[in-house]
Amino acid sequence: MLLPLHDVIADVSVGIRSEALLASPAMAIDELDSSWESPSEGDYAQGRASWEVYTQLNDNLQLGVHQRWHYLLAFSPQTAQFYSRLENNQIDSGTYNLDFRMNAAQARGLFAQYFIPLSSSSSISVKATVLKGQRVQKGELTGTGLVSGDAFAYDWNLNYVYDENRIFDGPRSSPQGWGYSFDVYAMHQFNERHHLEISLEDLFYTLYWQEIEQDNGCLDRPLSSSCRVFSSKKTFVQRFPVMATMKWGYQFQSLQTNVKIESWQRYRALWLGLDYQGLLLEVDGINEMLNIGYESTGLKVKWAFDDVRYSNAKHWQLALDMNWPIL
Amino acid sequence: MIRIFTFSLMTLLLACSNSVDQIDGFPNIDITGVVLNGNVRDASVQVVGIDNYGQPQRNADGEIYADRFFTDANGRYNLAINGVATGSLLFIVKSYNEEGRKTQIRCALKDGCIDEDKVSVDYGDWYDAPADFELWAVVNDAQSISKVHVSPITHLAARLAFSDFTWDGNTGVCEDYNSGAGTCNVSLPLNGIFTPQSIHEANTRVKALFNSDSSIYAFLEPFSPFFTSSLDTVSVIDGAKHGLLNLTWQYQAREENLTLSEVLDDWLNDAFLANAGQLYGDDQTNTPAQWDLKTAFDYASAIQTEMALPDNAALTSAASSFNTISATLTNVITSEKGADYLDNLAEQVTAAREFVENAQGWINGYNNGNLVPFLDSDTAAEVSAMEVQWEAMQAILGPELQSVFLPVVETVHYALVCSASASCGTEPYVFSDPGASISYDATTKRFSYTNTFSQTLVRGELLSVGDNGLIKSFSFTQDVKVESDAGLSILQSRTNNKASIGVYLDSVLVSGSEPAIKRIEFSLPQITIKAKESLGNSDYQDLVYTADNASLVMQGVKDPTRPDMPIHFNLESLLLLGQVSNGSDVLDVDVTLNGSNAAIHYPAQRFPDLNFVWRGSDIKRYGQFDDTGLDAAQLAGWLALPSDVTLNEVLAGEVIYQTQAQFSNLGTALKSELSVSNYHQFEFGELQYPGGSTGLAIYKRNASDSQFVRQCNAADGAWLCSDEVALADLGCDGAFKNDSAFTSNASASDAFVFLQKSDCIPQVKIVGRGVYDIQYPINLDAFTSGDSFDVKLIKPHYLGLSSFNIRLLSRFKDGQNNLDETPVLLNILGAFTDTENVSIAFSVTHDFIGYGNTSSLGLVEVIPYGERTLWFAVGNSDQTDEDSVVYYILDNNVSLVMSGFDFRSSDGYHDQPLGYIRYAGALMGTLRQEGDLYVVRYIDGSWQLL
Repeated sequence: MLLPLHDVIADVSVGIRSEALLASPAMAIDELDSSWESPSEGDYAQGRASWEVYTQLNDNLQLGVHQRWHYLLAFSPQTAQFYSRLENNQIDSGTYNLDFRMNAAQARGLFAQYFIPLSSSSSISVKATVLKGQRVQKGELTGTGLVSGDAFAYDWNLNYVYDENRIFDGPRSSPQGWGYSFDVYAMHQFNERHHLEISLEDLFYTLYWQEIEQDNGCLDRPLSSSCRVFSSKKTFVQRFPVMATMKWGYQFQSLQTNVKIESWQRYRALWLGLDYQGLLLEVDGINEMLNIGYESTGLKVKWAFDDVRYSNAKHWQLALDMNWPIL
Repeated sequence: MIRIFTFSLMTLLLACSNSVDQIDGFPNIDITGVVLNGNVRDASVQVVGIDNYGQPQRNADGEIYADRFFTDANGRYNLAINGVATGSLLFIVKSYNEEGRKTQIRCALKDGCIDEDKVSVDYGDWYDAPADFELWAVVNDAQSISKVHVSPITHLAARLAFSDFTWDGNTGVCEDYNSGAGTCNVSLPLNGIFTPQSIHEANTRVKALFNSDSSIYAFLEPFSPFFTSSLDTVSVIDGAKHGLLNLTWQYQAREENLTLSEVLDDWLNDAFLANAGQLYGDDQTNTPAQWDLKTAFDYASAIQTEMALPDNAALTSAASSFNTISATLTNVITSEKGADYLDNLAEQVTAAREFVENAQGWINGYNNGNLVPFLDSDTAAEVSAMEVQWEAMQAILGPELQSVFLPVVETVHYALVCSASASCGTEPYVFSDPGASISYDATTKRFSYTNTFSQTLVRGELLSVGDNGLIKSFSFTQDVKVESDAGLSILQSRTNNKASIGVYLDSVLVSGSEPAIKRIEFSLPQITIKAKESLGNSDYQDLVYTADNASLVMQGVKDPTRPDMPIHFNLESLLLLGQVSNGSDVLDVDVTLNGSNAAIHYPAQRFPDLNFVWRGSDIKRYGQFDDTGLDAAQLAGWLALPSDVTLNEVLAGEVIYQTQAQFSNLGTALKSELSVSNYHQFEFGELQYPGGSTGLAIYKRNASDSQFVRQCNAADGAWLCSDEVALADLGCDGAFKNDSAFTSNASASDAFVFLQKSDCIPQVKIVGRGVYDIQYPINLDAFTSGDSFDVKLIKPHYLGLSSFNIRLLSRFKDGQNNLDETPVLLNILGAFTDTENVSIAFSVTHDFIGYGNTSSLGLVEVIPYGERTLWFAVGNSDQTDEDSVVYYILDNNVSLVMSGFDFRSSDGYHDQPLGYIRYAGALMGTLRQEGDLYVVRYIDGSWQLL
């Protein structure tokens, strides 16, 4: 998400920002918690959301509070097929290579963002956030599944860090952790028509958990004496991938066309868009999304989707930014 | 044998009394110690053992099962426990304010304390302990202890040792499951279990946390300013640490204006257990801050300063040690880990995991009819080979089993018909085999049956037993041989031990009439059965079945609602102690059955189909809980509805009310039973139903007398009447005299109306069918002769088994003709009286240690014990409204006991583990359901999913 820093108000203002991105090419977002009856092609489900309340103290400095959620689920297509067929009793004989990884956290913190004009045509903004971790789910399940007629066997390695054990529907604990994250935004205006914007969000995003519950080991069927899982409580460092965005804009009178590339772990998007005096229309050629929005000095609204009906959508994005001058 | 005795002895030891009485030959174990630095007097001290399930031993009322001792004026106790006590011991100290005792605590802080009402107490003064005052200490190895001290520090360790061992997927402990999560107390440890490992780990962890250098705190006598100690240097310092830490309890209460209960709750539940047995070094995270190590050590140091005993080097050293540690503590939760109880804990847990792996394979194999994983390969191969031979024998002989016994039955039947005739031997008789014939020797009175098979010869004589001619016995005068297309049967009958068939008749034999047989008893000293290679072949298979002292009893039943139908027979009992052998290998096959309702169930078939006993594959499938394709008829009629009966059927007008005012008009049998000559105002009213009736004979002895009554019942034409009682006292709940309709000249109708309203005569039991509710009209106010009532079936008379046992024991031989030393025992026993009440146990034992001697059962014969045993028991009962399954699996040293319950009732909350895994008796793990998964958790912290 790019900040309209070139429209920063000179006087003090307050504002709110919120955004959400949900991407699940394998199945509708609403069906992620189901038995995965009909998974499509796709090897991830990712989501991120945040809200901020900030104060713009001057042209350069912005301070605020911040809440964020990150959810990254990655799996091999065979894993989705194996799980789908296992849950729905439609298992085909064969060997399945299983790879299932989840990385999720909820955190809250404070941030400071500093805008640095490098030249009349370039600027950079750096945002540093200090976070207190609230929730964590990080796990890896890798191995092999073997199906032969009605019988099946498996051999999995498990590494699972959690505040709430979802394997056994355990109680939720209050984990202790802290972390940090950086966002960098850069803009360069080549000439009156062309400009380039680059943003790197969640740069070095890391959470350090104290005494967090973990399950490590292996699970197999049929059981073997050498394969078991140990539960323990120890420190853990959780890291998240960067979300990178690059946007190239071409201005022709009041109309701007732009090309934007987004990348966040397995999520990729390629947007082609038109911006007419703040009214935004973009199309994502990779995920078949449509984005409509409006952006002005004090308001930014965006809605991107591949299906208007949320129950059928595999991609949804929302953003709402507002700020008001108070001085 | 030795293992059995050891097992029994261990069981006795673990369940033995904790009384102070000495057991001969075992001196008591004397234990002493102090409570809270010797500052608690008149407190109750109990020492209780830990049972096999990790729980403190309790009596039937749920109370701690231990003698009670008390602390003296110096807070010291002296007690003795049973000298045979072994294992872990839990010490529980509690307030006791009965029998003139009052538990009190001494203030041991120089600057004073506050009592539970937060009133100041001076140093050295006593104040009342709170009613909920309770401290624990827990130790292992009862035989090796002599001193155990109890304090808040030992309480932390003991509660940690008993804390969550596993978690079952539900939030907290729910006092009332139906009320939902709102009443669940999430702070209580759920399903706590003491194990030697958990006790040792907790004690050593607390030792490390609180900086003891010598031993666990339960063995460290704490410092007290009120008495001196004679411990060695290190122990004195550690004792000082223990003493100072204990005093922080009173100190914190004083400083923070809290009660002792509140302080202990802060320590235990809000800090120590909340952090799973760890503490913050210096909590800066929580608000308010949790009790942490820095608080404990700083308070301890402050107490040492307050004591103002600079010459006490131990105290000074202890405080110094605390100060040094306190200065390094940070806002980090500790990660102390205690020591393992056993040096070879890892090996034992590995053995337990191997056991679970093997057990899973055995059960899967057993369910698939594959015993190879359970047995050694040689035995499995021999069992499989024997099974093939058995199935081949059954395939030929099973459908045709009757053919090798029918000639015997026909001979007996012919003898019965013939003996009633004046010209016995000349009557025409239709045999099932057209080529058969019977000859009768009038001189010897012997019958001889032959047929087209040359080996067939049945010869015997019909004898009368008793005087009334209703009991006959056909005695075989020589060995009986019957050959058919399917096989050959031989019934041994020798001079001193004859085979015979006893026949009980319903009525004397009448020429030209079918004998009214109501019971048949077979007594066969030895029976041998062989199957032919194929139907009609002259060669026989190798496998031979032989049974000694076989007996079979069939009971006849008639359906009184269908008097024209003949008597049908049920299997009342069967005893076959036999074996199958193929020359070298032998398999003992013992079948014992005892039927229930054999005299009142009218089966669909005339005779029971006994082929079921030969269907080894069906027995095996039933042993695997697979009754697919097995119907009641194939099970010799068991659990089938009586013939012609449908559930909830209504029989119209089957109960009829009749009266008779004249004694002389009663039937002969009834008159004979009543047997009184003078009656005044006599009336007999009866409810007649198929097969019987129930009546009331109401009369006066003389005209001025009050009325008397005798209740009479009839079955099979025989009457039985009770002694006379006053009619006023008639009734099953309240007396007739208290009924508003009672008069001094009540009629039979009046009496029946009273009994009906009192629900004294709600049902009738119809032989051959079931129990029926009588459908009386609503507000019935009179019984009129000729009135009839419908009846509705509420419970059919199922033919069940009050007990049955099928036992197979292998006696295979190896290639050198040596008896296999690892016999296999398959044992099925149980009972099912109807579809609602079933209990069946199956066990398979490899390397059974018994001798298979079923004629005189010793202990080893009734316990399926061997190198490995799989034992399942299933049951359901209409009394308790639950199904249950119990598994017991044993493999050398490791065992798994698992029980599963299906509570159909909505009350109750079942939160106990499903199973316990033990190594040589020591708890190694539990099996339980957590969420939707079944997980085995081991005491080393590892777990596996089933």
